[in-house]
Amino acid sequence: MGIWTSGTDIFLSLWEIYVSPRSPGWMDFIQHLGVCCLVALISVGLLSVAACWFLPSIIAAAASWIITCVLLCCSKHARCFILLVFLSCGLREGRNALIAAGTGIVILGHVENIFHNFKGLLDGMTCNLRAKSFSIHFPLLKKYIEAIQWIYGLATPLSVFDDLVSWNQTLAVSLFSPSHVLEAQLNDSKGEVLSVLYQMATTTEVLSSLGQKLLAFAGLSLVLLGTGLFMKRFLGPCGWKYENIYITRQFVQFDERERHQQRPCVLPLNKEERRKYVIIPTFWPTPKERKNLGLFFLPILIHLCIWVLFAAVDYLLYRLIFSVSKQFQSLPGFEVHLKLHGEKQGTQDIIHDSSFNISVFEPNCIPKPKFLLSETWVPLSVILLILVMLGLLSSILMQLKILVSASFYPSVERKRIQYLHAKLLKKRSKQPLGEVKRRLSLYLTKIHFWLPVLKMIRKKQMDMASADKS
Amino acid sequence: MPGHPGAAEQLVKTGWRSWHLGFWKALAPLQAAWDAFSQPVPASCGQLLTQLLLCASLAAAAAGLVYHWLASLLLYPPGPSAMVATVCGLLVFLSLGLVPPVRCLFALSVPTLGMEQGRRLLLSYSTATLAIAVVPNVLANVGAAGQVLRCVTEGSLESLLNTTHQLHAASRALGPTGQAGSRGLTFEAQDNGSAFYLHMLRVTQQVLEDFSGLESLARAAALGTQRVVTGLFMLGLLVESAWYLHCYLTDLRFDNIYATQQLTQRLAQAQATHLLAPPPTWLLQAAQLRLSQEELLSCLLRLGLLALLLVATAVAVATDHVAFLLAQATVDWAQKLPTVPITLTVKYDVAYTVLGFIPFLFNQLAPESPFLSVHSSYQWELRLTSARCPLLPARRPRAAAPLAAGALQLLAGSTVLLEAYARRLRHAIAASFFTAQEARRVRHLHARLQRRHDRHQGQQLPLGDPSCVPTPRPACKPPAWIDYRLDALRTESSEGEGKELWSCRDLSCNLGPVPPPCVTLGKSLHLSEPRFLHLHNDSIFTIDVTYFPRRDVVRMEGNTGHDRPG
Repeated sequence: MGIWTSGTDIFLSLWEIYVSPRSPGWMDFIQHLGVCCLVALISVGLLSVAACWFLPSIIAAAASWIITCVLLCCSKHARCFILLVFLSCGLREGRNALIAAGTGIVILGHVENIFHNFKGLLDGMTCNLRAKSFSIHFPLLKKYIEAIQWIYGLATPLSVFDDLVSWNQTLAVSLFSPSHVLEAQLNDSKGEVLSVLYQMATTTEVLSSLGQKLLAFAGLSLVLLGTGLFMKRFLGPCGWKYENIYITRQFVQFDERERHQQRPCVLPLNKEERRKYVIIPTFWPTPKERKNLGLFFLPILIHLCIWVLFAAVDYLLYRLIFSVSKQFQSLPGFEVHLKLHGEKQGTQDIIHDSSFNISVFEPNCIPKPKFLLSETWVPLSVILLILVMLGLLSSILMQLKILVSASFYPSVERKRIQYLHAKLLKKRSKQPLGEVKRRLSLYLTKIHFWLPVLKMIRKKQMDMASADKS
Repeated sequence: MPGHPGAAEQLVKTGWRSWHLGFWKALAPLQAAWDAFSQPVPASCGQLLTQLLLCASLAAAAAGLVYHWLASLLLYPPGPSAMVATVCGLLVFLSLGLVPPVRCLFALSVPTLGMEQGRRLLLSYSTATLAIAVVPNVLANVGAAGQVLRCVTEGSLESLLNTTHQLHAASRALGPTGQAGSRGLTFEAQDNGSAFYLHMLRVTQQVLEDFSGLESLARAAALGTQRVVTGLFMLGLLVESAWYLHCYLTDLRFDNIYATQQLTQRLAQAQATHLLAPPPTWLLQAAQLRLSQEELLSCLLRLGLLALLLVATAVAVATDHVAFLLAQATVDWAQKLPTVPITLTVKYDVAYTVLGFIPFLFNQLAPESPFLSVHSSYQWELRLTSARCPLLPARRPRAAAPLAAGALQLLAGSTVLLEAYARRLRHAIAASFFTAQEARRVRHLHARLQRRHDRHQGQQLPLGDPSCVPTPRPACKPPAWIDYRLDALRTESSEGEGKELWSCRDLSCNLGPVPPPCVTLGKSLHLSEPRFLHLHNDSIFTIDVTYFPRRDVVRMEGNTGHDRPG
């Protein structure tokens, strides 16, 4: 408790120094300058980490730090603005930035993996063709030719009349197969297909990285514009009406002062007012804030469906290639034996045996698909967790925004307090009696509302009855 | 010259009146038809006939739309679709003809279609159109690549088996010749390959069947999703129109921000046109086509969101195109694979010469006697794709579906701009159908403008002013302490002593059963209300004199006033 109290005191002291220097003295100004430099260092550091491509060098970071220091020291608006920017990162603009980051991760991961698996499929086909043609076909033919040459090359019939009879034999074996054409065709075709694939992959990578940078820049711009718009509305001519639903500590003090001066007060709030107005600090959202929470989570759910869709497409392609590979691996081989045998004095022995193993798909060429599950969905899970936490904290962050703005602009805060106080008093004095609503709500139960023809018919009958009477 | 501007003004008025008269003459039939349609009970036979004709036309149009929606877009059978469309048409005709609120609901659906629900409907249609076109196309292209894989595998295997077959035949032909040389060649194959071939065929067929099952599953999923989404959006359209009508009839403040002709006439009759001299920012001119700044800002935001959806559509179309390019490259590659002819030629000649040395002595060529001559030639082709396996052509992405989706999204974007006009049109339609309610709403708007004018002018509010009439709100529950308020007021009026008033103020606000004193002083609250309105003025003494005639009260408040400037 002591540590907590002292920490709170230190923080409040730093806060007061940051909001404005206490007096024009040198000591207070140096303290103010120190706190401003610290805040500037933190903000430039966070910006460098968040957008490392934006501030690539140390010199740029240092220059940004100096500029931020000067701005924070000289301008109260800048000090308020940068704190509101930090708080806005947790609100709608921060949510949009995180959603953009998640979308970038999905596109970089799954779409690239789809291309990778497709490329593996084509590589497998080309490899299989090459293996079938150049590893089995032509070696088999070559071996066969050698066998034939062996058979006829050494065949000399023996005769007892060797001195009287001389033999002359000629053997010509030729094989015509333009395999170089196939080789060239395979190389060229593979190059063509792979060039298309590489072009697509390169284009996808360039576009996704460019989109990533654009989305980050757009997110940052959204945060800055949103914060600027908030400050403009808060400080504008009708600033006392903007988001004026928070019962702050200054409001409570004002109400106490009004009570002491024998004037009408508004606290404590009734049930209806408690549902609408928020007493700061409070951690349970009001019904209106719960509705805003639903609106906050709706885009997250939509984008989650899109991410799951991309992952499903990637998984389906992976599953297809995996199934094909497994089926091909399970097929048995087909062996062909080329046996050479000679006959010596009645016995037949095998001199040489060449065997060739034929399979449907070469084992070395079976494509091995890859499925990105941990590379993409671990950061996506982190992003989703942060988004859920931001959603739950959005009401608290909004309260902090109001408190920060009130600290920097106490005159606007006084106007807002007076306006809210008067508004509550006026609203209480104008409570509706409910009779008019009850009367207006009865239209649904009247038959004449739905079928005015019946009313007209009854009116005519009454007119006829009165005519008969007269 | 005081007459000159008057003359110019009269000239402008005359021109405007003549143009307006011509326009009115052109629109008279439409106005008469609309009057007949919006009348709860027709006033004459002509109006009745017009109403019936309009209801019949609308019912026929609704039936046609339902049939087209069921049969063409959602692919239901024509017979049940026609039956359902006919029943819907009859129900619509009866509802429109007899029940004016349903007629108003139907009329309200038209501008509501141009608002958010209609935009969602258009976007869902564009998304479904794109999904139905892109997903099967992508799957077909991937299937074409798979077919290339199958054909190449089959072809290479067939070629290999063909080679072994040819070599086997060649070795069998060489058999008896080989025996002559006491050496032989045997070509043994494990099998003839037919069982092997059938096995392979079964495997590839199974893979393709799985793939076509996947394609059918995707197509069915897209169609089912579109059915559900369309039904939900149509239901949302009707529910939103009904909700608007309900709020219009029960809440005087709901969507009551239009400066209509009726309001202008009412202000003119009451000689209160000064209330609109500076019109408030929230008051919209219903007859003007100019949009306010808030409407323009909301339009820009929504257009930004639609731009994002357009980007997503472009990404989907690009994906389809990429899949087509890949499949086309694969199929072209397979088609370009050459057929390699293989020719194996064997020539074997054996000849002998008897007593060869005798012609040699006489320098003559020895005559050779042919002993054995074998000439064999074997030809076959090394085909890399199977002839029995046709290559599926790559399916080119059709341009109609992306263009339709893009057109629907641009139409949705135009609805963003037309939404402001749709809101005004919706209000005008409801006002046409329920004139009594519109009169009440106009009175309420008049009172609101009067209160605003009085607040700005700083005038005191007379007690009998209509602006003090409490206005009801939807889902507004009276608070529990209202009975206490009435009791306190009754007690206060009965006693009427100053001491009782101050003693009530001295009560603590934290007592449970007793309501806080700030809410028991209803009359005091009402009297104290102007003080906050004039917080920055210096007329506090005048207010005190007016509202507190008693001497002691005047003295006390006077002291408070003296303390305030310090």
